[in-house]
Amino acid sequence: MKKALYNEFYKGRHAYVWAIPLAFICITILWQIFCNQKLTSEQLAYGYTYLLYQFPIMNSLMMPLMIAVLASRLCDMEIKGDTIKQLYTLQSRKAFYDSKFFHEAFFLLLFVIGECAIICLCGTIYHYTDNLNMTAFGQFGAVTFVVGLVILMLQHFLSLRFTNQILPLIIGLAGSFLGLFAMFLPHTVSRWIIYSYFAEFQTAKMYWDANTREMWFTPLSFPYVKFVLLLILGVALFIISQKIFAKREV
Amino acid sequence: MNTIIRTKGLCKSYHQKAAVKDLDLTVEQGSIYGFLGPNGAGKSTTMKMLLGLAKPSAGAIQIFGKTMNAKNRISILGNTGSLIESPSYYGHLTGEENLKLLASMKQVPEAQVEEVLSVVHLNGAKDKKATYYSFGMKQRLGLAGALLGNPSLLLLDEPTNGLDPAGIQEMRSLICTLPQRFGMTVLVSSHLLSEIDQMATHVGILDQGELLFQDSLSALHESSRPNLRIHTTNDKKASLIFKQMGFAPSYENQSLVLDSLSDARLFEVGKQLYAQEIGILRIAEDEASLEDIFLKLTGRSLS
Repeated sequence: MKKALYNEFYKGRHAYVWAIPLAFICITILWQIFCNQKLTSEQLAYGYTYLLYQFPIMNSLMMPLMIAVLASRLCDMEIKGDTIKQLYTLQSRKAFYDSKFFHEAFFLLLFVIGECAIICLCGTIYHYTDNLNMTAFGQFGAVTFVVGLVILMLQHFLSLRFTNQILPLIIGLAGSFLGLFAMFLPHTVSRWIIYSYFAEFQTAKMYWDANTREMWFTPLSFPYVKFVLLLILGVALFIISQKIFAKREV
Repeated sequence: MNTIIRTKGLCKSYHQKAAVKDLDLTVEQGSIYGFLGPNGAGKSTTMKMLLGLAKPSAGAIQIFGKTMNAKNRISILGNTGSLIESPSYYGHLTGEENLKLLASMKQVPEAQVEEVLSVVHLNGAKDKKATYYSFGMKQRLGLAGALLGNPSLLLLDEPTNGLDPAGIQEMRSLICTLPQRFGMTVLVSSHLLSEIDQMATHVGILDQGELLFQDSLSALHESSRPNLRIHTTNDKKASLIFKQMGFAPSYENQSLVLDSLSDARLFEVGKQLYAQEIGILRIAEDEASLEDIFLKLTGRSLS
């Protein structure tokens, strides 16, 4: 697997794949520069909490698209160059499927680390007065990566399955909108929409009083059982998609 | 001579339609086995099954004396190079990088990259991105990749497809040198009879998934006996004489065509014609081309 992963990174030379998470990180930075202008002392007092509330919502919108582009970029090089039939004579289908997925996951991890860094940097640059809750911060990072991985599993499968990358990209784009709008749907509906799971695991809940124009947050207990179930779903999805892919003749 | 590839009762069906039927293929070591057949005959499907890219519906495959299965497939194919249908390459990588990647996958020293680049005459373009290569160059890059690691067996599916005449000639001569130069066994498919005629030492003719003929190329040519064309001063009268002698002549292009004759029978024919005062103006042996042989075997011409 180590060798297969090394080869995947070699394939990524001159492909500028790193530019994809970097572009989305830049969007996030610009968004934060815009949001952090002229903060009041009350706003500074819930600075970190607000970011841990806001980032999952942003991720619901941005990450499905980013993941779709990422998977498509890395899988399309195999499709364009008609390399799969050659690769299958050199490595097992499973090794190919797994190493490509882990390569994509590496860039997803870079994005998650980038987001975490932005949260820390915002606190330092804008002098938030509250303390960063490290448990909630860790939960945010873990959720962003794990939900991202589950979506990546789907996009990875679709991008390798279809020779035309338009369909996986459309699904990714639709996922972005679905993820955002699912937050306005009843929970019985939104629970079936994986793209909304970034917000599903939010560590804080926001309250807004329209009369006093006051905003405050209450911490939410982390749904560990749901998180473990998501992990199990992810692993099951990966194994199923891997088996379907391995059975396919080229 | 060792058998490098042996298939037994190999079958492949797609949606209950047989693409390959009961194929018993035997490829001997050091040979260039020409796999001949029209488009859709099942050549690529067979090659894909040999490489484990398609699963046989029935039958067994033995490569290097080992029966291939899902577990030992990769280790068996480690000593095999292939070029199936179109060349495989990463367009954003240079030719050299493409080969370095393959060398890493095949666990072959990177130094071999230079060697195979010179074999396929791509040294001058090694730093160019593969996407800017012409089709012929991509095909040569594919062949270079297949040659990496000096495999004992090379499977080439229509390697001259899409090449210009010069490229075809170059690819052909390159393939012809492989057994002597590197001790490789080559299985090359083509729908072009002339191509196989110029490259192969052995030939297998496949049509509609069935193997119609399999032997050495010389045996194929021997099995198709040449016709004799005779043009005389009086073909009509000569035809009657031939019939009296027990032949069944036909008349084509202003000459009488007879099946191949032994020297003694031909001497007899000459004597009879001379006795009847019929002069022989032209006599020629009509060597049957592969096209004729294919027509004879399949009952239809090659597309």
